Amino acid sequence: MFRALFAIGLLLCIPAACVLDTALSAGPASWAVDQSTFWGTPVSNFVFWIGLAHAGTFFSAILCALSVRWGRRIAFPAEISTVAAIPVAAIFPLVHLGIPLRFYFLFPLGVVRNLYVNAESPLVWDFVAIGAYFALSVIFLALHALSVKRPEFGAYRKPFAWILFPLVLWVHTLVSLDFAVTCQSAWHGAYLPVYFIIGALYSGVALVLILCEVEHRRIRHLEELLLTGSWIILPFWIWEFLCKGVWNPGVLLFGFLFPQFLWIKSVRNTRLARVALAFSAVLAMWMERLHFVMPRPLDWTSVDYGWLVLGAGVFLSLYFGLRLWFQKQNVPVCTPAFSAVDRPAHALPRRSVLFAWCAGFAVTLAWVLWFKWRVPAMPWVRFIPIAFPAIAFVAGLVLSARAFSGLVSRKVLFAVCALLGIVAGVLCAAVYRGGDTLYVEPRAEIASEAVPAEPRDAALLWRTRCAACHGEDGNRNYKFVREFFPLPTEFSAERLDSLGTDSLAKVILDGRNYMSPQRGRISETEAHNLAVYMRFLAGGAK
Amino acid sequence: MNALVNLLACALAMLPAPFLWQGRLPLPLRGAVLGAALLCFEVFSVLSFGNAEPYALYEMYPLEMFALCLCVSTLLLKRRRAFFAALAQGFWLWVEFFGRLSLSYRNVPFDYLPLALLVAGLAFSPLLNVRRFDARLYFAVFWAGVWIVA
Repeated sequence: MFRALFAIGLLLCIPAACVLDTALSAGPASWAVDQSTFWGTPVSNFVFWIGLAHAGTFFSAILCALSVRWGRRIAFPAEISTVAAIPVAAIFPLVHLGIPLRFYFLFPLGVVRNLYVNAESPLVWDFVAIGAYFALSVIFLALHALSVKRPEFGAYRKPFAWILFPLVLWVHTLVSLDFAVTCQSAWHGAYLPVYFIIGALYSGVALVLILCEVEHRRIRHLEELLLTGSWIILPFWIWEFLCKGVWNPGVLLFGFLFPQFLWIKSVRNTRLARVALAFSAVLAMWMERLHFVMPRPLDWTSVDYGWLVLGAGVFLSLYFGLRLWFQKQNVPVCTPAFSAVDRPAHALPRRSVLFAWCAGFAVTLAWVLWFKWRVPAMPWVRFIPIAFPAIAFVAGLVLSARAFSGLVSRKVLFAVCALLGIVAGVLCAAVYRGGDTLYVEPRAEIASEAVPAEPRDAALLWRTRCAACHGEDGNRNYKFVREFFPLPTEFSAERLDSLGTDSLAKVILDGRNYMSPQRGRISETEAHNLAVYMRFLAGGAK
Repeated sequence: MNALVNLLACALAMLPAPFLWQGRLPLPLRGAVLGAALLCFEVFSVLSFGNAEPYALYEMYPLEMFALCLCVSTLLLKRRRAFFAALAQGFWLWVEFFGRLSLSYRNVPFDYLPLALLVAGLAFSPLLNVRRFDARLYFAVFWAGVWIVA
């Protein structure tokens, strides 16, 4: 069964690779994009998969932290599902970037090479939080696997669980802020963090239920949790309707009404019915994410459908690949209880746990102070979302270094840490220095082709060349500007008057600060006409 | 926002608290009770504010009511009262902090006072383990105070 599902996953990866190739080569034009939000199916799939990835930590970390014993019975499949689902989720924002190779601009490095990596943007928060979450989930799974044969590793599970418990909630909260802090009124909602967490846990429960059924294990607590989740999430859907008039009957049908069949004993006792009802909850959450990101129906392309194949293929191959590998290593993935894990040989000293947290806090504080020194305009409160994942990451690394130090001698451990430090340092230096950020296309060639002899209409030029950032009416395109730049300058008649038309034309042609140069794309006369048009807009707009 | 409505909301939020964890209900029914309580708070919020107030003022109002309800309900627990009170206050802090953070991007001023009070409440949660009725009463009054400030 596992081999067959692994093979199906690998087979699905073949069309998925074609889809990925199309998406990367053609860019965002290859999938349906909502013109009012600029976002499309990759973002909705990202939110869906990152929600599924919460299942593992929910069952193993949160239930472990709260000393709920039955959670351990399914901890392994749940943890593997997290490790398999996060890479799937990570594919989508990388594709959505348009230039995936420039992903390193999501590192919160402050001002780098005259570019400001906006640490106030939830996109940067996402990158940090999901990176930390993935790294710690892998370590958590490794510790769990090792604890089966070496009980001393069991002592690290609870301290690690207390790191992952808030982190898992934090991650999905930050995903919700991707929407809540934008200018799109359809996404406004200070309640979104809780709504997203509940949705993520609900879909996660459904996924783990399906995975347990694949393992031929029936966990009644999961069925109860699925029913409970359907009742908890219902008020949020109703709230969306009451506040914004958003109503999706399909989501209500699959996400709330169908799971209610689990109240009926005969249905509950049928394996196929349990799987079908759990799948209906997963489907509802996918539809809900889709509808949330893209409120208006769009014409889907083959790439949009391809994301489904890509998600399923990568997840199945990763999950069942890992599952088979653990089986080969004689790790009992699904057993009634892990006695060694339940009763660790010794508890970890409190001062070790405290030291790990303090180390995380100290490193993060140093980073925050450095960042604030480089970018004084950044408000203190907006460091908090990014600070906690950083603290958790460092604390987790310190704890895991202590755990793995038992496997190797101190000299080897020191050598490995030094090597990792050097590699990390070189990588940071490379990112900090960066490559050639200029386009390699010859400018002169563009100039001869792009600039016509006769000056074009200023209004038309404004709409095609300038409106993406400055807005059609000159009041800035807030969504774009807010995501990419820290402090947009005031666009007013007074300011334009103080600069003068010639100076403005020069700025348009040669660029300044965040304004990119347009020389070679527009002529000097056109730049002058644009400066005059800006005055007209500023006078009319303000 | 009307002070009377705010007061009514506080009373309504506290109303279901004693019944939230009563009896030995199965987990799905417990979930349904919690969902119904949240739904009541939502209906109250919409009826109270509706289109008269800017949406930003009340979009997390039902969740704040729900958090207050959870906090008060922990006072009636017989075991691990302090632990669950800390969790409930953590939930309230979560709702307030991230709600206000997202609102701050829409130029709503970020108010630190309720957050500071909730952090203080978290710090003093172990006092709830003391078997005196006074401690519980003080906490109920404290949460009502936080509600007024928030």
